[in-house]
Amino acid sequence: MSDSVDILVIDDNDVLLEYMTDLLSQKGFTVKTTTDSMAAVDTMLKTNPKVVILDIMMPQLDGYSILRRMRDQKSLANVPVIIYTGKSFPIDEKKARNLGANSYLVKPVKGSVIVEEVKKYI
Amino acid sequence: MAYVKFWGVRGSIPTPGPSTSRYGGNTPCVELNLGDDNFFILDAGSGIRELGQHLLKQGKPVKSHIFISHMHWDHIQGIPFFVPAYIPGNKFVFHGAQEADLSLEDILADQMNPINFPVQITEMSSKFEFEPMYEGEYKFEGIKVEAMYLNHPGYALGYKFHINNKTVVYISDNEPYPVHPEATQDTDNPDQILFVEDSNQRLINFVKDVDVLIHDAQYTPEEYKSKVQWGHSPYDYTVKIALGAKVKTLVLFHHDPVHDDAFVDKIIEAAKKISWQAGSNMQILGAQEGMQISLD
Repeated sequence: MSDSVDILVIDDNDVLLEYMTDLLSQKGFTVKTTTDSMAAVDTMLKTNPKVVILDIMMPQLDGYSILRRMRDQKSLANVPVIIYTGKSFPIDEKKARNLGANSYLVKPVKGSVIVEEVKKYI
Repeated sequence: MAYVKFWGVRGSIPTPGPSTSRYGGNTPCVELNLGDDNFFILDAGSGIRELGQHLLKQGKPVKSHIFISHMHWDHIQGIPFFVPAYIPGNKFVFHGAQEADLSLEDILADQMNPINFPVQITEMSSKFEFEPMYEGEYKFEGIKVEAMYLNHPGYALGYKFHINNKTVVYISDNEPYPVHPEATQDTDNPDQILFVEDSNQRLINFVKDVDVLIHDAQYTPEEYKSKVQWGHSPYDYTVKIALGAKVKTLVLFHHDPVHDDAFVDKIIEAAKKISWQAGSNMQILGAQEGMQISLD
């Protein structure tokens, strides 16, 4: 499918998305980004990502709800999800993992940490 | 006449007794009266029981929106004792951040399960509606309401209300955001920390120029050192945010259950000193049960 990408990044911060695109593209990955949390699952279905990098605290629909919707969809149930969030409380990571997150990174981390985490799944 | 009235100001657990009688021992509940018998309720801690008794004395049908900051006990524990919620014809719309795997209704109902309480939420005879909120802008009863995610375990929302030409912000539980001066915009170097938004500045922007800011100030700076990641603020952080935002009136809120009235007095004086030393004339108050602030 021509629209397919390696990585879909969902975050409400445009500036962060620009940096993530630069970082991951330089490593040879194809990347799509979106700030539209409501349309995130539809975007996944269209772009068939190998990995999703997902923020939690977003307007309109939060990352936990997106994660739950993914795990309820047969075609997205096994897509690896790396949570990249400012939420640093242990209870928040526990909740994300219970909902099916594969990795949990608290912002900010080194660029190399993001790349290494992605490489675990691609 | 529009006003803010405090019915519960204490954090974590109710603390009745002579040592807390002046500021009050009830957990959070604030009435945001819009005038003309319209009002919003901010949080449903044990203070909402007192508000309920006040409403009963007025003897009028009650319709209101209840904005829950988050679902920790001290912010919802008053609901089973809020008598107007048992009266047919009354109506309450609950707003708050829901969990991905639990609806707002389920969360509020669970504290009244048959093991924990003899009456279930479905047996309360007023009409309940539940409207989950996320960060963003809303409008209820013609009032613009903005919501912002806070730094607290689980989901917590701060609310900004635009009432006529006045603004009131309610941030009951919030911890300073970590700062990351080492964060960079250089994506060419993978060993650099990636860009991250300055969330403290974001908070300042949210409360910029507001008339009344009600904000968590549970700890002294010394206490906070051993309570990082408990989800609450030392008073010096709260004052600095308010000064940065040029807030007109700052209300220190969510008093620690171990702080008696004399200790809260000291916190308020110390907060005023920071403001005074910064050359500000911002009004600083300690939240106190029964205290009322006019919005006219």
